[in-house]
Amino acid sequence: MTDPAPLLPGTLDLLILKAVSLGPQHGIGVLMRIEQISGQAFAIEQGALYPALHRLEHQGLLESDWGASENNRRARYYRLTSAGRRRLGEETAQWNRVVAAMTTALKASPERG
Amino acid sequence: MRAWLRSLLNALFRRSRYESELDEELRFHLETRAEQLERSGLGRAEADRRARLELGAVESAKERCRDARGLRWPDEIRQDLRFAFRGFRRNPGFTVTAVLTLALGICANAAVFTVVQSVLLQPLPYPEPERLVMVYTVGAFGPFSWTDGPFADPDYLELRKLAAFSEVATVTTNEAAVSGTGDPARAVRSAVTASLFPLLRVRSARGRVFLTEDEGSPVAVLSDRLWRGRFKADPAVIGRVESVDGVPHTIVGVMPPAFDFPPNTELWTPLRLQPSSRHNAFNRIVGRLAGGVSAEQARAQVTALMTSVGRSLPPEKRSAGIGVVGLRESLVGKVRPLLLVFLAAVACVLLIACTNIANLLLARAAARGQEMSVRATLGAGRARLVRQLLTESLALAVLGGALGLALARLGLPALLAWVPPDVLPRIEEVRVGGVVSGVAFAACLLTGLLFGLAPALSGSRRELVQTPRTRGASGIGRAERRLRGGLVVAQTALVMVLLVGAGLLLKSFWKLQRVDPGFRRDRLVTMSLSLSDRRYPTVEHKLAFYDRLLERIRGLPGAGDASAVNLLPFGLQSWNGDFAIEGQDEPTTLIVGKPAVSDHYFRVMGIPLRRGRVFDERDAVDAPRVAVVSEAVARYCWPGQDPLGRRLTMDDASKGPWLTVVGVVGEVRQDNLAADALPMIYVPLRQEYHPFFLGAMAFVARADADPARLAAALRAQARALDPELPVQRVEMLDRLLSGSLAPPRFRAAVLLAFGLLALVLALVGIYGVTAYEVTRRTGEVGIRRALGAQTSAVLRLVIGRSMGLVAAGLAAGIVAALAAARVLESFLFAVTPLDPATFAAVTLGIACVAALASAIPARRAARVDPAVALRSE
Repeated sequence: MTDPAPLLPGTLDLLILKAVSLGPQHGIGVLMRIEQISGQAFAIEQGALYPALHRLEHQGLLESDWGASENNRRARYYRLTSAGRRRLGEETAQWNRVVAAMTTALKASPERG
Repeated sequence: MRAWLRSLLNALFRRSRYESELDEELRFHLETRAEQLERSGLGRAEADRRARLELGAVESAKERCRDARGLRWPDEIRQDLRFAFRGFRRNPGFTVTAVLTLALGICANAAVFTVVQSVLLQPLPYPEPERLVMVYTVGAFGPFSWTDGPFADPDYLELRKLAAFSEVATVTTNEAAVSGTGDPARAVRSAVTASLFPLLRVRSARGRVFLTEDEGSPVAVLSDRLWRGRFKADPAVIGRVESVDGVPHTIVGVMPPAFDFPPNTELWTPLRLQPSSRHNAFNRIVGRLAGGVSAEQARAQVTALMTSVGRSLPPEKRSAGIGVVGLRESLVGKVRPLLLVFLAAVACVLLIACTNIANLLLARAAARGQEMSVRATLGAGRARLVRQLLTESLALAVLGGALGLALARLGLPALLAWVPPDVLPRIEEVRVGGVVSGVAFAACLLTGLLFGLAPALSGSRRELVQTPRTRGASGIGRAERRLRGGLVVAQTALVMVLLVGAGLLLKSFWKLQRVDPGFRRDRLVTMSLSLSDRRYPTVEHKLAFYDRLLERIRGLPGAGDASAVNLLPFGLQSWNGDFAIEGQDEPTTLIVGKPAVSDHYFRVMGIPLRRGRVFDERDAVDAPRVAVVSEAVARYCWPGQDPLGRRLTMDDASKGPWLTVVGVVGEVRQDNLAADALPMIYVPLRQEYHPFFLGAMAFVARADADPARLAAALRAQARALDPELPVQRVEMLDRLLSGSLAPPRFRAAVLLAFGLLALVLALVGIYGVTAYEVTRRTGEVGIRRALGAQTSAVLRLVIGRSMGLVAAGLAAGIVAALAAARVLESFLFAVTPLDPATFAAVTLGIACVAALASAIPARRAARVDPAVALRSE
């Protein structure tokens, strides 16, 4: 396994939305799920996680509720709102376009003739 | 957007819950992470340490979470406010000065704006008030013109037929004697057609209003005020019989407290219309426009009608003869310019208060230079510092504004009680309402920004390189000094404008007081009374009573001479009308007073005889009818000719009776010293044959010595002659005359009060700036003194700069006042708006007190001990 790469700027929000879209999660759960679905490829700064969660909730993309965790403690669970689901779709599509364009651009070879 | 607001409000208003949840969320993270690490084989302590390390600085994470919720601004504002209030407490002198200054400014503004709002802006308290109009005759004749002339009864009857109005009513107001319950008293009585109440859509509070059948019958409706005052709010008042001018009237109703039309009416009686009399017009006509009809269309209809009716308008004036004015405009139109002047004046006071506080804040900002540079060094950005300083000034503004509004609310009733009667229409409707509070609050915030912005910008402009040592009081920027100087200039200019306005009004008042009324006012005692038709049914009865009373008064010790008149100058009656000159078909449109006077009247009053003779025994009832005219009538009717021997009539131009002019007398100001004299046609009392003009009479006597004793004697004589005589009003003519001066005195007093308030505020400002200069230049002064400068040189140095600013302010003020004074033109009497004496006096006055205000701190500078001063540097 290679060392985790630093996160591209702006991708943390997208990853959080994706992770929460798979089912309601508390903060550390979101962290672990991102690590899991990305194949441990990204190093997420834990200190940035909570401000990001609060920002997304503030924007109405997530909503939170208190529930019992696996270890039977009170934990704050985040859930995707319909606005969040819409945003996830848009951002995913946007991301795919960027990746496709980048890929094409990087494949280019010197023109001959 | 909604989610955002909900989340912010949630976090704001459940702040402690938000914080504890944030704590719990992060604690859960740390514990869960530690458990995971422990499971992977780390020791308990090590796991805790690693978990903490991975999360990073918890406090910074929390702070970023709060930021993400939009809590940063509210938090900082809260912090700034706490900081501001701590500062206020630590510096009570500054705080009290600033808050009081602003409170005074806001209080004055709230009070004046309340009046403006209630009087000028608020709709009348009747349904569909915009359709209510007054109809007037408009005319001009020679030097005389009028825009709110009355109509005669037949005109009203014609007007009723017009399609322009859904309803029409006519009213005429005078004073009447009321007796029966308690002491006889005078009350403002309006005779109205029954249509008035349905036209205004008002109902009685008790009993009923008039019905059409009531017209001409002796019934009366009371105002709420009269009912509560005279009748002690007795609910059994309905059906009681009360004497009105000696005629028993049955009380049929009481109006609600808010109903006040025509203004100040205390008693309504049904109007007895005289369909055939066109010679005496007293009626004001009020109408409700029919749906879709404009005032202009109504005017056209009335004009067309009056043209076809013809006679009441002279041929050359027929096109411009009618005015239709909204009812509210007719009630408040005349007071609008005055209120707007007051509003402008208080706005100036508020501006001066603002500049004062700005100056205080600047001084404070200078004193807080160290604090600011420390905060800047610790990383506070300029915007952050500006925001903090602005928060402080807004907090001051809100404190001052709340205090000012509370003062206005408490003090307004007292202020209104001080307003002389008849100056402010709708005064009983004046209340501090929501609109006023809202506007005052907005004004507060605006002023807070106004006086806070400049000091905040300059206070935060600190170069970090300046160390606290060099940043003492002397390290102040040139720009800041210029700003403070500019404020003094502005203040001085505003004060100049206000005081010039006040000065012009004062001078007008002074001149008005010195107007010759046309008669000798000193020691003249008057007694007004009225005889009822029931007890004195005929002209002969009335004249006999007046003759006997006059004889008794003339016999009184202490009364030099006495006379009777039914149209006393500055009295209550007004018999005005037109007349016709022999040989001309149409009556003139010159409106004249038509007093009937007994012998000696001109001598008692001191009205000079210009030509011919006055009335005497020759002018008996059966002798040829005669008249004495005032100079204006003679000049107007027979320019360049001899008026003596000419004939005129005040009745029908075709029949007469004709009166021969036997004398010409001087002009008399009838009820207003500022207005032109009312042209007069006097007739001898003995020859007066209209019972209508004999119902009320005034007796005048000039006291030899003590007017008060004579007054009592007059009253006693009237009582002795007829104990049941309704009411007499006994008053010095001089007092009646000064009553007419109350409105101009009030105008001048209000503007003077504002001007002086502004002056005091400005002096505080000038004193402050000079004192500050002195502190700033202590070192310099010390050096100068050490080098041998005289005290006078130091004084000159300090006072010089202040007076330079004041001089600039005065120059700007003169220019502004020249423009502003024109607004006052309509309130001025015998003074031009550019009156050089007033301008000079105000300029000099301000310069003197300003010099005084700067001399006090300057003397302090002059006493500086050079050694101490140099050490302070």
